Amino acid sequence: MAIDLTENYFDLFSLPLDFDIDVDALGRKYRSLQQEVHPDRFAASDAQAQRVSVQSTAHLNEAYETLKDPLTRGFYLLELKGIGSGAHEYTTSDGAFLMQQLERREELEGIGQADDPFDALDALRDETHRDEQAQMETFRTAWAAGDYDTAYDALTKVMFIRRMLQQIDEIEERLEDELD
Amino acid sequence: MSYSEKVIDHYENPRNVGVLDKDSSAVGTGMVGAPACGDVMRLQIKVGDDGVIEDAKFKTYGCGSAIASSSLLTEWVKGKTLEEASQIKNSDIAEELALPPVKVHCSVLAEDAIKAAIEDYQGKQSDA
Repeated sequence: MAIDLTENYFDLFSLPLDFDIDVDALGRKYRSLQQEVHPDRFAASDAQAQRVSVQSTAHLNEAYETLKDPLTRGFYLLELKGIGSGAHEYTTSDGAFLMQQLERREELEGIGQADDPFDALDALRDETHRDEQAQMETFRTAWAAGDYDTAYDALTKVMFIRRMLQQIDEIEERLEDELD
Repeated sequence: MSYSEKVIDHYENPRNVGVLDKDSSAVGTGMVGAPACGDVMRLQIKVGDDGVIEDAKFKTYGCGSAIASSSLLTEWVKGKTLEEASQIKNSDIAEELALPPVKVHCSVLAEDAIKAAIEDYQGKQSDA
């Protein structure tokens, strides 16, 4: 059993080509396909079959990781529509958003001086999660309306927000280390 | 990856970190960001009546190269006219700091930031 490497990820998992997917169904289909192509099943087969198995497994994992996370799923949907692949060159021109991101990072930078830094970190994390939810909602609406530029912009903003969440975790770890 | 001495110098002793009054008509603010690494950069210029940049400040959340690029740029633009400042190329910054290829995008960010700041300032003048 080989996987059709040219099939798009949604077809691969027998899912409708849409942003809102049944994540449980994705997980079930992933595990069953994973068993079918797993290299262990081809240990006694010829080199060609083993290669196909390894290749299919890698493709399957890549597809699953892409669809599992709403951010990469969104980018993938836009890519299928021919919209931007590789966010690296992109700079958002939304000055107000960037200003807000800068202020959030300033707040994080000074959080060690708060009366209760861990409470302040939790509050900032909640706020940042709400930022992400708001952008994903903007994406969902724009995607449904076929406004792909707005949809792409929203996902790009989520990348800044994800980085912020990482930094919150890093600061929290550092503060915990200082307590030890 | 090792940073050049110039990058380390700007990173450890960044020049002109700070903020100018973004509501002042003499101040232009450029906000740029690179989603791939999550870097956010604010670069501001204060322009005199003669069109010469009197002061420049920046705040950058990002890697050492992004901080060094914006720090160096604020040094360079002071005393320059807007015309001169707009001609600074990211390749000049990358060369001065000896940025490795994977970090050249940090200097692009700085170039975008000064362009955005000049645009913001010029927009304010035509509104007035």
